[in-house]
Amino acid sequence: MLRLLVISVVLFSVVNAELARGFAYPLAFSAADAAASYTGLDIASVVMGVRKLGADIAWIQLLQYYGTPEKPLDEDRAFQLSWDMTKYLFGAKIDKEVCFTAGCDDKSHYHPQIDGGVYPLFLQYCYRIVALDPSYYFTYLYGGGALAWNLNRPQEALLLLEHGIAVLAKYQHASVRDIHEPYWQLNLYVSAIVYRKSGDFTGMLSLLETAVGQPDAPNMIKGILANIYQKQKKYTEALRLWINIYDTNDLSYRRRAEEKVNELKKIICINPDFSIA
Amino acid sequence: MTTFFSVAYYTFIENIRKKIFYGLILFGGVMMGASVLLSVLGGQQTLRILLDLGSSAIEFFALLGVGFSAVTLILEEMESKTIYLILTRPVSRFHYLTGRYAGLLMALYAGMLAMALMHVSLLLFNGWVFHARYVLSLFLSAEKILVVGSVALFFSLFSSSAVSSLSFTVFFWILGHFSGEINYLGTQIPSLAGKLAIGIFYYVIPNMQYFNLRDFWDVPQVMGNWVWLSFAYGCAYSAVFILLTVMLFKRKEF
Repeated sequence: MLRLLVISVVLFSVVNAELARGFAYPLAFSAADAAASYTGLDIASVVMGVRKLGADIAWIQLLQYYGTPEKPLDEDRAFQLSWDMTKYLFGAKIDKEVCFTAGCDDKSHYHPQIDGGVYPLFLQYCYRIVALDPSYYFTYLYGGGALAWNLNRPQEALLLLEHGIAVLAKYQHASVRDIHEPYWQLNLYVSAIVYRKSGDFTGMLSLLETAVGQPDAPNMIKGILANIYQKQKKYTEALRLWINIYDTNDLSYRRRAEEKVNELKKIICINPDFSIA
Repeated sequence: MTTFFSVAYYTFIENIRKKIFYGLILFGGVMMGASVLLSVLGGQQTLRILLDLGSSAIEFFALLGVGFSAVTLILEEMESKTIYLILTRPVSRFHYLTGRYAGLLMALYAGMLAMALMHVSLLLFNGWVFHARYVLSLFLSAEKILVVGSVALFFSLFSSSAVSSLSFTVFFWILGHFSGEINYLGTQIPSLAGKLAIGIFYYVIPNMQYFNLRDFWDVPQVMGNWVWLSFAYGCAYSAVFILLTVMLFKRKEF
């Protein structure tokens, strides 16, 4: 028995030493991650070894934060809005139409993001997610896009994207192929934001067109580009993008995409029978 | 060897028939069902949330299963005195203990497999493209259970109280996910005695991050030889603890 134990201990020591040399934990916290503000849930996810799940919960919290109006509502209104938005997300019929048109003050509509909002903690939420899971690429793309184009804070967007590029560069030494795909997308977003800052909208547009062509492009970016197309009276391109958004089955965009498709269908009037509903 | 298989089979059947076993699988299934609701809130990240929540639930419920079952695996038999019936026959203590442990693991792995099948069906139904890394991450989760099971069994004989054994096991589980930080702490301590103490601690606590592929499988080019070394690490670690448990068990007088 003792001999068996000694053999096991020796084997364990050899393997342990080999692993210590050959394995580098890819999610180790870095000094940059200290900038994020964490919650008890984040700590619990680290302690239990479920950091990806923690990042997913933080991601949902980001969407809730970004989807909640910043102006305080009275209790009845908040309850009604929350109930209606739940029904809206699940595609159920609600009493009032949800309207996303900027500047619309029709009281018979719901305006989910009435004033656009400032959302000062948006970047902090993004940092928190990527501190838990640095390879959560979608956060960089979504966060960078929202900060640059929706919240009009391109500087913060650049900070987030540069953080993502730095994280990915860490893995570059060990990567041959699959690093390029997300890596160049982050650089693409950075370039598009730089073009926007310098007022070169043609350059920005061509880069956004490349960005939305990727399979993991956020629907928000597609929506932004579709709205730009619509303003430029490129209705067919806008329609194509809204159909693409509709096809992703993203419940938070589905109804809006349906409305936009019907609106553009009426404007184009090429095929009045066309319907995606 | 026949006695080993007989004890393992008997333990497997015993655990399969326990209500708590079905309860855990049921909770795992419910958790996966709940993940569908949660994933709706995730916008375009539906699949990712389904994948992460499901695979974490499988591991968590297997952990609960191994924690509660392993600490009572021998204790219950000792308290009910049914252990006399077995040990008075020509069954060595080594075969009895390893057989009990193997049977428990088989039952837990059957549960994990059932939950994984439910999970994969749910993912495929939602348009997921199957990836071999899923199987590998599940395999490494099973390794975690192997390690935790051996630690729990050791503590169950060491402390003779189910609650304290379970507490020690959970303590090991948590510390196992902090191995990297413990090692880092060792490099930062200036005194040699401190370094040595931290070094021993780091060596004894199982490094659970070796088995945590589920948490970082999409990191670029993360795969490598370490996966197979992790497998060897888990086997060697649990072998050490099982042998220590056998040594303790041999010294026990009934």
